[in-house]
Amino acid sequence: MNLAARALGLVLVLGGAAYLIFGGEDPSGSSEPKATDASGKPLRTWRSSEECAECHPELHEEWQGSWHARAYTDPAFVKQSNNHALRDCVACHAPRPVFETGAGLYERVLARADRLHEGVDCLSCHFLPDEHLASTREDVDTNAPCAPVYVEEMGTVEVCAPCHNQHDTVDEWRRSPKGQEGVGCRDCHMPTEERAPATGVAARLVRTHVMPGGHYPELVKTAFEVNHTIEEGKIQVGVKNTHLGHNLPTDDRGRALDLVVSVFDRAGNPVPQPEALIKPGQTEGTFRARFRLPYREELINEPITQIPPGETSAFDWSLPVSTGKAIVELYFKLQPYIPDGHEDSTLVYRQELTF
Amino acid sequence: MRWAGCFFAVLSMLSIVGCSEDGEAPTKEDSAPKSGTQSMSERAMEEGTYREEWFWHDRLLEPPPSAARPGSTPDPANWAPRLKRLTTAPLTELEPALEEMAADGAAARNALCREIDTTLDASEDDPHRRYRMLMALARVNGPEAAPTLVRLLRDPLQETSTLAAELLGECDAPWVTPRLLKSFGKWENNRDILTRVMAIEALTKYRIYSGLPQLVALLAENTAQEVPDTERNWKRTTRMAFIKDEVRRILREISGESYGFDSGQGEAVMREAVGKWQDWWRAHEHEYLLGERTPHDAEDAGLREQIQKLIDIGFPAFQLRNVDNARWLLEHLGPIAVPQLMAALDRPELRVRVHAAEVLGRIGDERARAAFAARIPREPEASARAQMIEALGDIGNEEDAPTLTKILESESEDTSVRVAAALALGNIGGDAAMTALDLAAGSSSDDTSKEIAVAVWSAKALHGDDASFESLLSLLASKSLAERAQGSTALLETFHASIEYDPYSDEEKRTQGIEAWREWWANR
Repeated sequence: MNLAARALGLVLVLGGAAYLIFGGEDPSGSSEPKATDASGKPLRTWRSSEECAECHPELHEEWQGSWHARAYTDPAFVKQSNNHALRDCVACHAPRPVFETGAGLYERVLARADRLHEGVDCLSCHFLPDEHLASTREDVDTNAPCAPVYVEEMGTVEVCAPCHNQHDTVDEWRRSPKGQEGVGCRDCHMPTEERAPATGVAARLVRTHVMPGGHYPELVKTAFEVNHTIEEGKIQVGVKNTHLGHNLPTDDRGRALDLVVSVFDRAGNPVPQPEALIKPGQTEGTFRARFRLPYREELINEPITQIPPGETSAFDWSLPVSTGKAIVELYFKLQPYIPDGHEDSTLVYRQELTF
Repeated sequence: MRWAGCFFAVLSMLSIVGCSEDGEAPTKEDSAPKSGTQSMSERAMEEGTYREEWFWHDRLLEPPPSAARPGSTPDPANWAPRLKRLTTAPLTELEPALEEMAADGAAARNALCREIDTTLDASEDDPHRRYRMLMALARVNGPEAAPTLVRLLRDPLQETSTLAAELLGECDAPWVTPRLLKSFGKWENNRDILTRVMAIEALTKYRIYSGLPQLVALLAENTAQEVPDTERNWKRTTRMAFIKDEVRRILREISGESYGFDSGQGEAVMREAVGKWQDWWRAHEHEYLLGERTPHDAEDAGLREQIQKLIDIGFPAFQLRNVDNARWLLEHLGPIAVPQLMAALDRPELRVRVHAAEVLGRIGDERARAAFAARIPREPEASARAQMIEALGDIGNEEDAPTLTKILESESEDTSVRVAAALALGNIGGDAAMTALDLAAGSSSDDTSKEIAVAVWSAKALHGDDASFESLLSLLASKSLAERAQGSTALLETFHASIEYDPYSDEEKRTQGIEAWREWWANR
């Protein structure tokens, strides 16, 4: 038996003796010695992201406006989780610290029991089981009030994966050119800005904590290119995933990108799509295609139509009229159930073509 | 309690000299992340079977090795002519062909299973031929047929999957119950209501009654089945009436009551009968799900093996869909799974302990209380302690109120665990719990206490306390975004009401949300 185990045994003996003498009745069993900082002072126990605002007000405010902070209170999530009755969603929408169960491409977080309203909070990513806080900087000031320490995995894809690989995003990234080049999540989703990282600290380049993604239409618009030609009575449309390090769109259930081609005859009358092709909520246009990863058992019957990084999905449709106009549109939907024309169906591309 | 301290000290002495209690008590180190192992996703990706990996949880339910078919190897030369007669006979000559097969008992069973398996392995597209063989198998059914019957649950021919479900209930192989659950549960793409009904009936043969609410709900269902029955060319409404007759038969056999329900009668009579069935289920739910008619231990080694697979492979799985699948199946297996879930509370993997506690709470079996009482004081991880406490709240026995009160009052305990204790006391209710919550509500208000205070308000509001509800509501009007989010989350977590209130929205919309909550409270 090694020395550490014997020392632990001694602690247990003393603990047991104290229990015997003082009749302790704490049922928690949480009698472990507190971790200490470099000077031997016990570390403060961090309980909420609100406490981080004491020294990092700007970063905290930024996070509070992010969709990470809204992960549990977002009305769309509230609805999909049946007003929070479904407990299966809590693990990723209000996770305990990643490092508690481990960072890694195939690790998974556990659900928090408290502060659910803080969603994916500061502690989810930064809190370490020994009560230090994880930093990406090797030269981090370990004497700062939160006793930060450098952690190699911090800032890498491995910290994002426990939640974001649940629906394949990180695996998609691994197969992508960006993944092969080592361009990570934060390179796109946490750009840098020059500013003070904490109160009283000199300005330098700091990662923002807004984490823009699918909720930001302007960002979505930069993800793809659309090519179209009309020749010999056919319209060809190709959508290329030009800029993403993961599929377009990524994530199942929550995202869909709809390509809608509306054809009008010479008199300007719309040519509707065949009745047989109309699906609930997808009623517009003459031709249409959906890019999406079907949700769970939907995969049994529906194909995966996401566009992998660098690839193009092309369509070749025969025009139903010889002259007229075609409008090519792309709509980004945060949920596939959002019907055409709904305010949450965001137009991210539009082009008119006459033929 | 002092004896416990004495035991603790002696135990610790033993650990100094090189012994331990059982050598497997989990520690923080045990729970530390393991790296360097290749996940199933990773392997599947390299092997090019990546998309199939999405459904690897199906493999949790493959027949256990113990279900392998014993007996003689059928002689193809001997069986081939008879199988041909069976599968090609015109309807008028079918009965003699079936009788001929049935006369050979176990040998015919083996031959039929082997032939059916062969057609399935070869993806042979002659489901009608398979159905004929299944009809013969029905006459020589037994545990050895179960692996084949399980495969037939996915047969493209509805008649086959329905008959397979029915026969699974009669083949005396309890290990098939997880697969039957899956066939009527949320994970299957159910094509045919009748197959689900038969699967639910088959489960009752193993004294698993968690599908009965679905049957009662089916009686109240007015819409016709969407899937047309092409085989018999029935009208949909006729088919639905037939299915309801089957449901009525099953419910009558289980309960001994019929309430005069007859699908051929008028709407009013049917509605009244359905109402009585719903009352019957409400009155007997506890008895059927947890009562004496449900076995507390499964003797079937195959079923124990299936349950253990769900715990060993499902709980630590990386992807939550697999965890969900395991949780759901175990929850619906109910009391049969309880002994193995209780044992899992002592496992070294944190995720296994957490999910075992979660499922034990959902099942609500009283036996788990003792396991929690033993485990909570020596559980090193706050997340697992919190989950076990939540589970005690789900079980809801008032005798646990004193233990939970101590945890709520313990200032050295992790906040999340104390919050869980407050909410559990709310779920349990009763005088002791409410007194403890009243005392906690009056304590001081540093940041930690605020979190606990909100939990206490939630727990008290659950029991109709106006002041606590107003306290929660006051958070919605706060200038602090964090407080608004805290208040709205607490209200939704407690009541799951469909009230639109977004803490991020403008003041006008927030005010409307507050009014909606107030109105809901007044009319609840």
